[in-house]
Amino acid sequence: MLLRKGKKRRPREAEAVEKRPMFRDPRNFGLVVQTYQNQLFRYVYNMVHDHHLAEDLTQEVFAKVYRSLTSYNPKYPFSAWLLRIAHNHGIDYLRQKKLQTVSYDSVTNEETLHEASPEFHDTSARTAEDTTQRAIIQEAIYSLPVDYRSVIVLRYLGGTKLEEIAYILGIPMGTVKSRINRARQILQRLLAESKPGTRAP
Amino acid sequence: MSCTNVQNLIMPYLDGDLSKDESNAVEDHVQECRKCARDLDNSQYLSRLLKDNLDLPEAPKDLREAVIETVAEPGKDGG
Repeated sequence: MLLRKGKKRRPREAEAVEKRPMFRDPRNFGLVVQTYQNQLFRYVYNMVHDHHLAEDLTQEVFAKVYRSLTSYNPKYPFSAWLLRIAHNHGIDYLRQKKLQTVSYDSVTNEETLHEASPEFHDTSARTAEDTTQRAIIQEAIYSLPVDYRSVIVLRYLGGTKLEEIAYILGIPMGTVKSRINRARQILQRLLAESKPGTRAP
Repeated sequence: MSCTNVQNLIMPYLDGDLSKDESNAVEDHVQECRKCARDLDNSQYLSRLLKDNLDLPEAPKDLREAVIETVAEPGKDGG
């Protein structure tokens, strides 16, 4: 349950958007776009990993948001509501285009994961934070199935609370936690395998 | 606290989602258990890698205008 307690830390835009009629004017809706465009674009980009596609999808998401303003329920943070629409739109696109990433059955098996405790870094490697490392990490993230990638992006890109992730993805809290755990374990395994000289499980 | 319990609490521990008592229990356990200490260390490192290396592209400069144009024209947004 994601009930907001009082008005503390409530974004000004979230309060303003509750006065829906003003945002039905496209010129005023530009304020909503201006405020949230980076957040939505980054989320969609991390889903599809294609700049132009992310641009098109984000534009479509904002059009959906504009048409749906009257259905916004203020008990949820406005940004979470936007991300929920963006996520659903992205998932619809991926399903339609069958771009869901490959199954990770072999590594998401619970027993395998609990046994896997690789040392995917060593002390000397920690100082080697360069573009190669960045590329390896991003490749690992993009190789995750979208269900797992979504929780990682929400949690670590925006620091989104678990309750909000549950709302955005439309899944129970327990599933959010297990997906984050599994995603982290998959990433640890992928990073261990990608780093020469480290011990793979 | 068992190793299995600690394994399940490492991620919420790093995210600051545990109570003080739970956090203390995790810290006490990893003082004694080398395997869980290593897992905590790995997880801590992974959290930092993720926070530091996720893609953060800026939205295209003309996105705002494109959206306004779309929603201002009835039918153009497909709605």
